Amino acid sequence: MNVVLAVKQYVSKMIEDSGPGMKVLLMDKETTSVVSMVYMQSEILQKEVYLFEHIDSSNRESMKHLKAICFLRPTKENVEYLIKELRRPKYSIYFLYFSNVISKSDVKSLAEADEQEVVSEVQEFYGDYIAVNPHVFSLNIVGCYQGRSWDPVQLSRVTQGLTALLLSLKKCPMIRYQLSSDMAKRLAEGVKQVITKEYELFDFRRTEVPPLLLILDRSDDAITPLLNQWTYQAMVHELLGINNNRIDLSRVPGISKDLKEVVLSAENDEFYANNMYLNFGEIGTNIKNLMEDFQRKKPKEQQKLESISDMKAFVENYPQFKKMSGTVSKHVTVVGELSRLVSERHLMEVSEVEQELACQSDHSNALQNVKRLLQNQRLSELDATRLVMLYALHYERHSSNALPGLLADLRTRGVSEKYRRLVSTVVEYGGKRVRGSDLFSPKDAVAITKQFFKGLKGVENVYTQHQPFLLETLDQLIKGKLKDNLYPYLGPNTLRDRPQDIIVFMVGGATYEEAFTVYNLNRTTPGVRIVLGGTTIHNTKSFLEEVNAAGFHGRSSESSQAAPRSSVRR
Amino acid sequence: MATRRLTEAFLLLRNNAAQNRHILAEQVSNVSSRPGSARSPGAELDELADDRMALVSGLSLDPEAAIGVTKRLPPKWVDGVEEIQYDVTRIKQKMKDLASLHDKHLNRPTLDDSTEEEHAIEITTQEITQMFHRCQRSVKSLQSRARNCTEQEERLLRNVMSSLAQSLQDLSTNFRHTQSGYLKRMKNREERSKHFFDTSVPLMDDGEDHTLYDRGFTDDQLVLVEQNTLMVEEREREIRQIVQSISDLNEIFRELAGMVVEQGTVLDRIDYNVEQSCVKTEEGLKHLQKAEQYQKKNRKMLVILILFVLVIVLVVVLIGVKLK
Repeated sequence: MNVVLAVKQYVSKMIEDSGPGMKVLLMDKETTSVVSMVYMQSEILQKEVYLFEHIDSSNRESMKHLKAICFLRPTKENVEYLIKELRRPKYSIYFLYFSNVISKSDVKSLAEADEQEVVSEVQEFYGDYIAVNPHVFSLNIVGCYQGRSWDPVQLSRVTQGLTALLLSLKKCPMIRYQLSSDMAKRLAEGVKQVITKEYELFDFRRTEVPPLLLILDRSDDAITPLLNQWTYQAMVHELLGINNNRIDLSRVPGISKDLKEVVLSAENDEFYANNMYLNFGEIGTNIKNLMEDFQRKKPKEQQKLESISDMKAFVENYPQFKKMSGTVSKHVTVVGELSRLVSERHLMEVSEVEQELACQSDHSNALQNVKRLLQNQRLSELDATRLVMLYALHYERHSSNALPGLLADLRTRGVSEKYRRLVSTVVEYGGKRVRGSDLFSPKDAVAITKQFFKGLKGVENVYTQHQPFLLETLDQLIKGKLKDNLYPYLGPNTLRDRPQDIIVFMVGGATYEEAFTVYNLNRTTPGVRIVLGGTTIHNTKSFLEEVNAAGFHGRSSESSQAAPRSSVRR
Repeated sequence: MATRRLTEAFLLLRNNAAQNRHILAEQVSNVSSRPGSARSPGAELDELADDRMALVSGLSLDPEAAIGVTKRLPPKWVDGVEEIQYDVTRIKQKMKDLASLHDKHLNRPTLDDSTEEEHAIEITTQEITQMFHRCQRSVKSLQSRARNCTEQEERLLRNVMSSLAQSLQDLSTNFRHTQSGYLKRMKNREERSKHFFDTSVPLMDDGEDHTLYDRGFTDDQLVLVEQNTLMVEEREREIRQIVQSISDLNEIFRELAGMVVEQGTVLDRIDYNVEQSCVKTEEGLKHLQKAEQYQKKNRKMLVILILFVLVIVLVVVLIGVKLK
């Protein structure tokens, strides 16, 4: 269950199958991202793939000495481009690979277009998702909501992505979904439909315990994407934004030219791989060690290469040294920028209050803290708004709810109209009426005692108290205690044993905090393998964008829509 | 990693499509040839065209296809690339040979101390170094050919070069590692032999009646010492040679390093490079459009100027005519 490896194997197989000789890789925009997440250019160049092109770029020259490997999504536009390409082939021979199930009629029209008989392979390779980490995938879709239902275009895209994932991992799962979300149900049904339709594809060797696909909705836990993060990967995404493992640093003051954009990929950056799940303090120490290590090696290089043994040592260590210097400067820049942002935006204080809002239920204290921070003029607009959002989500039904007062505070601070309106939109999106389960106050005795003991012990780290709701869900699922009435099975069969291979998909986007949680679960629970996916991977900004794009139009229209659903919920 | 092969279905569909086309073409030719029973030269020509069509399936009607045929020849540098790749495989083979020679020399020393093995090692080392040199030169010469080709070809060539440079660099690092490893082991052995040599001397004047030995070594011992010195010299020469080859490689290495893209940076991302090339072509297009505009403007100016001059000339003529 390693998604990075799965996609990488697909790409490697494509290249191997085409035999020796110079090759060009034709892709569309999405498959370009898919391939770039698993292969670096230098790596793929070694396999004699020397040119990378978009299928839609119009001015490709004819190069008959190249073989073309086309890796495309089977969309209408791509098929049209391919038809055009095959009528006037620019390369000597074509290997066509589609990232998903392609319709018979499309194959036919391609066959008719291939008058010069240049196509030698047509295959479906199901690499139709972005493999972020070995246990995390994304589809890079922001804006799948239309109110509370799917944007139909996105629904079919997400269904395709999810089925491709199942095929690439060779899993034919049982499906469970979150009952309170209509979208989760629709998606579950869509996936099931594909599985039934393409039953011969999903005919894998049966395992003792069938794998499980759990489909959840982001609206059940709107808290997690609103929190500031302190583990490396999550923090970088929250403060700088990770886009396909690329980080745009061009806005950092005084950045040097070759660090304007950097790549953080666990695949070929050892330091990152070792530190992506560590918290900010630990990273500081590790960076320091890295620097010292580097300093120790550095003087050798700066000395004049006088004796032959100097020269020899230099040449032997040079590649390693060069790589190290790149890594060091990259991480020092990133961490430097993070710590600059932390101090500039007072993120320590903000995060402490955030965590308190998310994890404790002391209303008066929380309100006081939020009010105090709102007085601080150096707080950024976004941070001020998210505090109020967290407050609004937690104490939505509290008897002495002071939300109007806080909103007024926001106005006097000069927070823009857009952000202030988002507060109510977020409550609309993830408020109590929508949630199928209770985020904040535990219900059963076990959970209450657990929390009580936690309170007694005190917290180790105030900034990382919060555990995403997903942890509880997965914990119950692994123990076989997840309630069937809240997360029903699709179809008549139910799983008797504890699940082993679990694929969790979050409609509306997962977060890196959840990725971290899943990573820990994978590590600590033997025999259980979990892969987490989402329509995208959110930070607060993108999450607010998503909520905003969902387009809730005030309470009045929504309440009429929500009424029938509340009866479904329980 | 599930896959599904659609090649058979595709081939079937393609053959069907080809047959359909064929039948259609035949029908058309039948229809066209029937009405004129007396064969006019025009009809014959038509038939000829039809024949050709059937043979190369409509290729000849396509003006670009004709160009395509001539373009099928790959650019010349492709041969160079193949040569380099061949050399790289040969270097790999030689390095394997060398490694086994090293092992043999170090682990199974023969008593007669024949120089044959050493000689073989020397030759192989030199050959490898030479081959590295040659490869590096040919990679560099590829660079010079990049000047007179199109933008896309240049990109291709650049990628080819960086990949070749990469593999050469890896190989040379490897080679250097084996060389220095060998060197180290040789030095160890030498030290060990020195150790023997040193201890053998005190052993000799350890005797009680050392006045006898004070006058010098016996002839046997002298021979031994001479032999040892010879051996040490020989070893030193070997070591110097290896060091020399390392320093030779050093130069190659530095030049190659310029061509290799640093791994793990954004420059090494496929999507970044594709985006970049798109941006570049767009820019190029913009430049072209701008240039065209300028040209048009220029033409307009030219026309205006000519008209202006014409008007003046005509006015002068008019005045001249009027004055007369």
